[in-house]
Amino acid sequence: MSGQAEVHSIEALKDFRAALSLYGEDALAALGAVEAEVRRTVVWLHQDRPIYWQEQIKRRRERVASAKADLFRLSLQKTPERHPSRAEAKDRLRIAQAELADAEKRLTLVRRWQPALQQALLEYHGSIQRLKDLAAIDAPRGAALLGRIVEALEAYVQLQLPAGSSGSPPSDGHQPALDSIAVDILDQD
Amino acid sequence: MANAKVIAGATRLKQTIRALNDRWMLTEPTWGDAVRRRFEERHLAPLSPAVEAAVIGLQKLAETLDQVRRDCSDRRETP
Repeated sequence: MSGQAEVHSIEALKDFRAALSLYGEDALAALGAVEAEVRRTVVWLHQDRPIYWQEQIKRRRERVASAKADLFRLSLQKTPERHPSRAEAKDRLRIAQAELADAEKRLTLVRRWQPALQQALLEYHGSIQRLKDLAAIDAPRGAALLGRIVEALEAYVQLQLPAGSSGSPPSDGHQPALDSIAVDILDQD
Repeated sequence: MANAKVIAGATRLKQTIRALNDRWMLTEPTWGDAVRRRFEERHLAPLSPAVEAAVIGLQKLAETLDQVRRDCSDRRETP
């Protein structure tokens, strides 16, 4: 690598180092919150839903049977003189049958979604893997690298400045030693 | 409507990369050497494409989770 070190503000590097560390943590936290939501949905789909809909099918079958029995009772009460209305009982049966059909359809959908969701999650995890690696491994590594560069710069500045003075490294002077320090640190990364 | 918690995750990822890029915009002019360019290539350049891919994945996931909830819920259940 050629050229000179041109660092005008060690403080700016320190600030960016902190921002990079925070970035890694924030990105992982955001993905972690999503993962929690994913786990809730998986548990709901695999554990809660099959039991819920099987129970609903059982109850709704009972309601259909009861509505059919009511309708049958009314038909027995029918005589040449007496014609009890069956409209309401027929409505109840129609609604009970529709609700049973809906529960059966939902259970089928639950069973269909179980493998489909697993596939969707595989694709999702593939789409975030690179970012996860960068946030978990690369961002801390980059922050640590900046930390070492900052330490080296501060040590260099202390050597260059007269005793008792303080400040930033010279911004436009020739700094081959400083350049060499930073390159060495980057090469070790 | 896509899953709100997943969409919130995508929004957070976009905000955090924007904050980091804004911070870099302030840092970059103070560090003008070849080491900075190597650091940028190695540690910063890969982030934005990775965030974009993750956001697309999150949007798809949000739609899928919402579809699962709609298909498998009982309309009479309280959420």
